[in-house]
Amino acid sequence: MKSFRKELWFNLPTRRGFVNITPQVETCLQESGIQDGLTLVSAMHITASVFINDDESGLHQDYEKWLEKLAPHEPINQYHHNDTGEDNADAHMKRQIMGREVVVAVTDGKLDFGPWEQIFYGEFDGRRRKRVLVKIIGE
Amino acid sequence: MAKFQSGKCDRLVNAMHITASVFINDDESGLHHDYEQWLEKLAPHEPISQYRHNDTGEDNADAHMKRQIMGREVVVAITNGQLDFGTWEQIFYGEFDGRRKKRVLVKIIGE
Repeated sequence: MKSFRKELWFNLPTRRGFVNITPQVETCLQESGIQDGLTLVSAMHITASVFINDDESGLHQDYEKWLEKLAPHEPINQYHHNDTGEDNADAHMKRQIMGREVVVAVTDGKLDFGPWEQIFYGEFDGRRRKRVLVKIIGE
Repeated sequence: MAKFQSGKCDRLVNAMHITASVFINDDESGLHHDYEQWLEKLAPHEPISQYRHNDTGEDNADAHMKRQIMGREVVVAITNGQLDFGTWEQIFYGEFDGRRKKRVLVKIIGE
């Protein structure tokens, strides 16, 4: 069994944002030389997500509004977690809704996607360096 | 009442019950309090009669919702024999319908 590991680094200029990381994951798969197996892509930070959905800007705006309604950033003092001096409790909630990781099948050396599947990094507490782990195992 | 318990397991870790979660987040008690309050707002336990599932005699429909928000499983890479975590990642069992024996499955594959 072969195994491949790489970290992808991000530093978004805004608190929240979505980045399509599918091309970077595809590059990892090519570097790995693995033809058949599984790819794990996971956020290494607990205020960020990796998820699969549509690369459509309207949808991303909808996610932003919807997440802010379900777990508002303000007032900051509504969250006990923020008593620790943090202001990112809402980001821990948003990340749970959008998920931590995706596992994608590798078939014939390609990510075995449905027609519209794209992998995204979801940032909910940005403006600092954060990373995503790509781990591929198979043959 | 949600209860979160920290554990150090690995590769695939999943709740074997559909009213419980396994998730990765911060081991900070204030945050756990916030999750409890937030989940109760999004999917309140009461009134019990608001859920058709509870017509079956159950009272745990809210727990099925809460578990969907928090997730069923986590998959963690193993590198050099260690769980390949970021700085603050910790694995939790989230209970949304407790006071009975329940299980989590840990499945590890590799070489």
